[in-house]
Amino acid sequence: MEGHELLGGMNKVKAPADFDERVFARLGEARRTRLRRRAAFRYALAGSAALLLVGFVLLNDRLVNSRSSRMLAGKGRSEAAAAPASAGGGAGSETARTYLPVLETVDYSSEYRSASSATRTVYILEQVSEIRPTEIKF
Amino acid sequence: MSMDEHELIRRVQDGDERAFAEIMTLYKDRIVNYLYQFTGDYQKAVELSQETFLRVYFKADKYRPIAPLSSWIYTIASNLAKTDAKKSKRMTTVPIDDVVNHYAAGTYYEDPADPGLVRNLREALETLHPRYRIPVVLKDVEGFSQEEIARIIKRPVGTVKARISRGREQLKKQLEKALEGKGYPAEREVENGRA
Repeated sequence: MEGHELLGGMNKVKAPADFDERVFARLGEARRTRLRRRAAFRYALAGSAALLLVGFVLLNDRLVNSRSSRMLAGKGRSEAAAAPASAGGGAGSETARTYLPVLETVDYSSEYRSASSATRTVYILEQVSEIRPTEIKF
Repeated sequence: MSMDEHELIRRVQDGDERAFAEIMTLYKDRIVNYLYQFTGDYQKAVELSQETFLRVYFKADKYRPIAPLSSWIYTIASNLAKTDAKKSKRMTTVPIDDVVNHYAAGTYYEDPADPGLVRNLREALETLHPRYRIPVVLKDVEGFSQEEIARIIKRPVGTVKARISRGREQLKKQLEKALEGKGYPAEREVENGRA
């Protein structure tokens, strides 16, 4: 008789009498553990989401600030570099490097001439003759 | 799968504990016996069986009725047994005499003609790698077909056939050694170059 044929006749065991009770006891315990774990997972998830949000906001704030200052500096540099280059000078890059953007408000209100106070210049265009001066010889 | 089992598992999916208790009643002895034959340790078999049924309850929504419920439950039990075998590489065994004394409520029987043979057989079985032990136990102790075993261990039928054949061969060798009084050397079993 082969070994595996003997296996069919090996001792058969049964579950203990209190098997169901023990499983149900473990079931209740497992349920409570799962609930606790789920709650802990939710808190952990919320916490990490909040941390991510705060990190994003902080990082974004810094990014926005540095980007706006870079944009201003870049604009000033390009303008400064363009002016000497158009004039044919080779010191454009040097000027651009030393250029500092200065923003100031310009008040043009004093530049307007009031119609009442300023002297008026009147041009009168008069047609003198319709004949074209073709006969005049110099 | 019978309609009853389908209905039972559907009710378990809805959280019905009575349906779960019915499934447990149907399968607890088979699962405990299967795990006992696999581990050789009754206490461990009972613990693993309990864990199996807990998983049946909590993972019921993952069950798809494409295979019999028994296959699914045996798959869970086999996976747990394999994990346990990995955890404790050296299996602890409880002598059959101790088990009988502890649970002497008529749940065990020894072959009165040759109790030594049963012990030899069990020890030979325990020397098998889980890769071979699971299909051999499922086939020769639980009486599953090769197709059912393939579904349980999620391997092709050809692989199952090969493993059963190799497992039986190793079992025979171990028994022969035991009969010759050579004992059971701890062999490293290799399949396709893997230990």
